[in-house]
Amino acid sequence: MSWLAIALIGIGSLGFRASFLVLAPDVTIPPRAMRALAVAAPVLLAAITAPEIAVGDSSLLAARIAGAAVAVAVSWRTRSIAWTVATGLAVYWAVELLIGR
Amino acid sequence: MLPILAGLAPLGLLVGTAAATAGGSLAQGLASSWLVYSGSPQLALAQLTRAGSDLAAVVLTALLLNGRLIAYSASVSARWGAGPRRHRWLAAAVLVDPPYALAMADDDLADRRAWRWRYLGSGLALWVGWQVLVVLGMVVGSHLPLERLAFAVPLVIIAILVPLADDPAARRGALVACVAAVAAQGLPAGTALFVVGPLAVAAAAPGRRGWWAETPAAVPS
Repeated sequence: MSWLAIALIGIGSLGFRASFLVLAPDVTIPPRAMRALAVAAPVLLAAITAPEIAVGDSSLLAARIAGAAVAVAVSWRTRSIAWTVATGLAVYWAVELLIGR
Repeated sequence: MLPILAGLAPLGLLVGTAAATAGGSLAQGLASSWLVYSGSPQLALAQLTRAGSDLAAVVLTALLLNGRLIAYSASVSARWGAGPRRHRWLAAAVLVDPPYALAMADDDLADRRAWRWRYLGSGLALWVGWQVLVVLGMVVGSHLPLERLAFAVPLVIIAILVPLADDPAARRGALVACVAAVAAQGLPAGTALFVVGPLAVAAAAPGRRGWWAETPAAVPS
């Protein structure tokens, strides 16, 4: 991790937090902008995670896809972070064992 | 606040462990959970650092993930009322999804001063609890076989992402982002985001009129 990245993200985030509370309390934000800010999160999270699953050591591709698919299903059903990670990791390790690595 | 902290415990511990897998020192983990103070950008910082992304891509992704805080800041400010400016700074510093959701659910606005103290109380309690969880996750995580646990990082992101993609538009955007991000792997580092972003947002743009005008619900994490 780089200190510069932490500092830049930290300062930017504090600016976001303070934007309306401190810096411009009298300005109103249009609903359209609120909506765009809310939809950005799932899109970005998908964009940084999909390559982590699909790209990389191809001998473990099946394990990564199986683990991720189970995690998506468990998360959809339970909404629990603990269960999602536990079942996803268990499936990943099981497939890794099966293909003998 | 305690049930919320208990619910956040797995996330906080895993965010700490993720920082450890990215080779972050304890000071860096603490600084990022103090300054960045939000699960998904802290995870993105760890995952993109580990994947060797360049600085601009890491910073831009994390900032866009925290962009929702602008909307939260506007909503809390609208309910804040009077009171000294330093309290507004404090309110901004502890602003993140759980206190925001509690504040929006708290409709007892007759006594604004009491409302503000309830918000600051829950915000400060969560802030302290989050720092403890992340440090605990880093300390415990650094004793674990990190190479074996690295796959937990994308899994935690999946656990945050799936509940967020509740809305068909968000789901379309997320699916297009998956395909586009994998296809964009051959592009020079840092440029992928500029291809993937607009494509995914175009896909999320609604087929239904009025979607953009609705106020979004609070999102977890």
